[in-house]
Amino acid sequence: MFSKALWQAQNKKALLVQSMTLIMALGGGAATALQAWSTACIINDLFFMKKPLQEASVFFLLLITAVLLRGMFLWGEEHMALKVSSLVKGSLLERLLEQAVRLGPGVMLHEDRGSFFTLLTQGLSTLDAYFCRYLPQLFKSALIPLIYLLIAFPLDSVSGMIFVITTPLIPLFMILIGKWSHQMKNSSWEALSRMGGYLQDVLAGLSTLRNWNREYRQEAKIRSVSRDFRLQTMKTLRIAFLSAFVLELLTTISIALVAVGLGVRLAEGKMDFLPALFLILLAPEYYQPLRLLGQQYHNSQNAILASDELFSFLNRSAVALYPPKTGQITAAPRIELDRVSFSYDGKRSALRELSLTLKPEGIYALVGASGAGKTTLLRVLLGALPPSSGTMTVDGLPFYGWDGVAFIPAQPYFFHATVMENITLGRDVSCQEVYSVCRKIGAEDFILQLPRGYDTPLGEQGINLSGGQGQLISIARAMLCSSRLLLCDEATSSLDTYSEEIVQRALEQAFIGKTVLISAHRLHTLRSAQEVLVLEKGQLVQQGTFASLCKETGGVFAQMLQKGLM
Amino acid sequence: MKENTSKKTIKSLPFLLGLLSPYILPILGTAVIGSLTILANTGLLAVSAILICLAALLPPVLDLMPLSAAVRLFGISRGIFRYWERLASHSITFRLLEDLRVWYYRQLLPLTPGGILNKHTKLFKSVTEDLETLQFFYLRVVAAPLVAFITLLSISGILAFLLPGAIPVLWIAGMINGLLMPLFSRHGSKKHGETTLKQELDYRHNLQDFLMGLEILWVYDRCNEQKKATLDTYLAGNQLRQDGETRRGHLNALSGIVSGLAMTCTLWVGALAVEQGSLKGIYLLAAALLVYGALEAVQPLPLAVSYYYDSLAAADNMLEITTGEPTGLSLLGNPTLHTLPTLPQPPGITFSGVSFTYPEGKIPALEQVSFILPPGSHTAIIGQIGSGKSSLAALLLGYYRPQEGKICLGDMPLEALGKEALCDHISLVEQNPYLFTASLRENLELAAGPKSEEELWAALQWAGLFEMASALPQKLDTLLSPQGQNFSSGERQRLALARMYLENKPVVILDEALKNLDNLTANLLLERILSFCKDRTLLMISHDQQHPAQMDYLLHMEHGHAHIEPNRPSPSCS
Repeated sequence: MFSKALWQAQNKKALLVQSMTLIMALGGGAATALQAWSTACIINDLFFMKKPLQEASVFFLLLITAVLLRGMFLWGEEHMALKVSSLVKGSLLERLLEQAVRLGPGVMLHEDRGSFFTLLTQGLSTLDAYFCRYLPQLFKSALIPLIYLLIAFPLDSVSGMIFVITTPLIPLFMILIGKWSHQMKNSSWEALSRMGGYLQDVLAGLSTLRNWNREYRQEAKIRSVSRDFRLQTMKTLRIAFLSAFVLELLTTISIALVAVGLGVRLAEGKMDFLPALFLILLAPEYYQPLRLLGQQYHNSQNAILASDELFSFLNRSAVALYPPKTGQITAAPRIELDRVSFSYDGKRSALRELSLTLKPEGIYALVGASGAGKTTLLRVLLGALPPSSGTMTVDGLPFYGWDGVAFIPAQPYFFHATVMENITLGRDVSCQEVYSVCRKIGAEDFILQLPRGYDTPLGEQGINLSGGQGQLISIARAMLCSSRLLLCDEATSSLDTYSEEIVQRALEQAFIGKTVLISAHRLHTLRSAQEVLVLEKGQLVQQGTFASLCKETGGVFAQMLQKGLM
Repeated sequence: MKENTSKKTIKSLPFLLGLLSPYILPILGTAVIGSLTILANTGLLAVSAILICLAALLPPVLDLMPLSAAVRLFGISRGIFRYWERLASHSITFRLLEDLRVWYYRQLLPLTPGGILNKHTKLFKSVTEDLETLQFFYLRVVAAPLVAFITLLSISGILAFLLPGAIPVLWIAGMINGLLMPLFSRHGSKKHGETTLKQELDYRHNLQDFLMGLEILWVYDRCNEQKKATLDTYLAGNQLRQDGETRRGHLNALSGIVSGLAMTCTLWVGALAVEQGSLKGIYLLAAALLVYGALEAVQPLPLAVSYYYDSLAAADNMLEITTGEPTGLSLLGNPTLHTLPTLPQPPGITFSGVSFTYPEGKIPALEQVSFILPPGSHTAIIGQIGSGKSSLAALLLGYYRPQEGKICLGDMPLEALGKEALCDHISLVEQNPYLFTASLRENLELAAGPKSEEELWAALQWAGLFEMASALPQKLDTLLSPQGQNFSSGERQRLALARMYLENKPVVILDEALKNLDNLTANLLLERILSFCKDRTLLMISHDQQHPAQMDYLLHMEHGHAHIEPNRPSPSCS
């Protein structure tokens, strides 16, 4: 019903605007009462007191003022509520993105990012319904009936009592409606999506059905599945609408009770005409906020569900070591890992007391079956995951506080930007440097052949690069990085022979003067590497040149070669 | 551009109304119930007002009884009418949806598969989004204005007796709230909506870049820049959206003001009538409340206007997809033939001078292709991607008709044979066969018709799926996950081979049908296929130069040209 976490997500400014919303809502309630009162006064003057029209004109003016005020307050309320929602969404998004950076690519696994994307687009926009529709309505339903009660009781305590008795029943039914409509959503909307899925399935397999001469018979099936869906849904709706029916009945019968009671007491001379008239005009307005709240209930549920996910993400503790930049390394570094361990869940170790040394300007190939810890080791060296024990040093200094690494991922990602921007990534490099790097690695030829050369847009709406071309862009990115440590995750999918050769030559260019660690899949890489490091179950089990490892028959490496597991 | 849209609008509106036509009576009935719902509420307020005014004259309490009864009646009836209306209108909605789905499917059939192949993504988007929009066409676009109209009409009827002067007030306010304001707001919001959408797309792109490119951004220390860009585009889009919503808020408030002023006007007109003596004082407030209450019926109209345009756009989209020339063979072949033609078993295949260009293509896919495959022959079709192998198969299956030349199956031209007879003779096994979200049994029987338990298991055994199928929780009745994702690509291919086995047709086309299998299984299945095809005509398409030695002919495809030669097994293979 009410989410404390969402309430606290409002910053100071949002809280200020929220209180304005509240004032507007209350103003609207007051204007409504004024409208009822001035209407009652007009009737009182003209009908009961039989005054001429001119004398009542002041109440006409009052009525018009009340109508205008009510409209203005409504406008203001919507305006303010929208503002609150915007402010909350903006500040939440900022915190969420910051958290994503804090967690880093080691924790923000690739698989989770799709659902996170949905959360930051659709999930975030469900908050609109909460802040703009539900929350103001919640305030109104809590406050406006209360104010009207304070007005009603002194005028006629019996009507006041009817209001008091019937009011708690409304939230009760509202919750029931919410629950029922929720169930309805689960059962019948699920059926709807099943139905939609059926049609999609048939359409996707239409050419297959056509080859079997089954496509015309499938039409009857679509009809019958649709009919089943309709009958089933109507059955659910008959029950689901029942609660709305009871709610509706409750309010209209209460109004009727108030009206009849007032009429009788008036006829018996127990009360005056003006208050009676005012109360009967106020009665529907008394129930209105609660009635509307019922309609907004399920909106709030969706928003609260989404916000639960958002907040649980914000509450995850950060682990990545975003390295502070202190100096630049001008020579290829020597990397030493001493008994480094890492575990994702605190139980099973992905790296177990792993020690290794990468000599300056050495080229090392890392091999191992999937799950052996190659990716984890790369992530640790990138600084995206902190080792749970052990030490890492760069040229004898602790790992923290050096100028990053150059990285060539297996699957390069291309941004919605030009080729040039995709290479520079907004770093401080000149066009000339980009040109010279691209020339060096042989990427210039294909780039200049693109429709707009270096200004050709990539990404969803731009053009698609082939696997080899993508690799070259990725290599160019890495070469523009001043770091002398290069980590490279070799692509598992094979390129055609021609592209393979070009990429190979480009990589050789990129390796010059650097300490290099490659998670290797290609035989060529293994052969040309200075040393091959073999991982198994998070430990370094073999180390040596390709030729020497091949000779160790019965060794892990020789077995892997034999099974073709590379 | 503008001309284009207006032309489309003319086409899709009759289409939408045509869908509704079988339901005219239920629709009108539901609209009457809908307006009764509003009338009950209005009546409740108006009669309460009369009751109070009458009571003020201090009559005997008994005189109030009929009015009290009326008040209670209205109080009860509102809920009942509302319940009834909702049920009735939802029932109509679902019936319409049912019709719409079947209609859509029926329209697509003649176009399969050649006519919709290139529209596949569009089609799927349309099936989900357009149907979703159109399923509410009745509920939101048709029902609401009907209810509003009937309500205003019946309230006008009552006012004609009570206070005729209020009728113009009612209709003017109704027109302003229900028609002028929504149209006016639409005028401004369309362009605004487009810029908002564009800005939101920018945000999505930036966010995608941020999340999916996190590794690279992180390694090269560009996270903060991308974060800022993402946040900036979000805030800009949010601001635009907020502006649009605010405009809607303005309208809401404005229509409230119009209703309030209409009531004030009615009171004034009524007061004048009371002074003139043409209206009794006790009815003054009732008349004003009638006008105020009737305007409740107009409230949903602004939404109806925007849904109206959405529905038209969705209908346009569907009509565009379904209007296309059928590219393939027609259902019946030669209309002068009354029985299905009988073909020699197995039939041979003849292409004579066949040239073919895809409807949207520029370069011919096949040029002057001629060859004869004798009955029962086994042929390997070899060539690189794009050489015309798939086009050859598509023509043989009747997906398209060639622009030039003739294709015969057992001396019978395909046109004369007709689509149904043709498909009765050919089995196709594709590299990525389609598996339906249905049970394993249905997936087999859809292809081959009802089969006995033994036959099904025999086919699975034949395709090497016996163990896999026996291990399934409900054996043959196990439901496959969408598009058979719980099966490996090799299992999917073997399932397609099991289908072929059950289909038992005289011509078999294998399109890379063993590609996803490991060598051992592929060789085993190839042997089984070859013995299965002993008395069948077999075409085996492969993208690489490797082909089984056991073939009778090799059909080389290159740039749309075909060249056939007898297969002489090379010494190394034998």
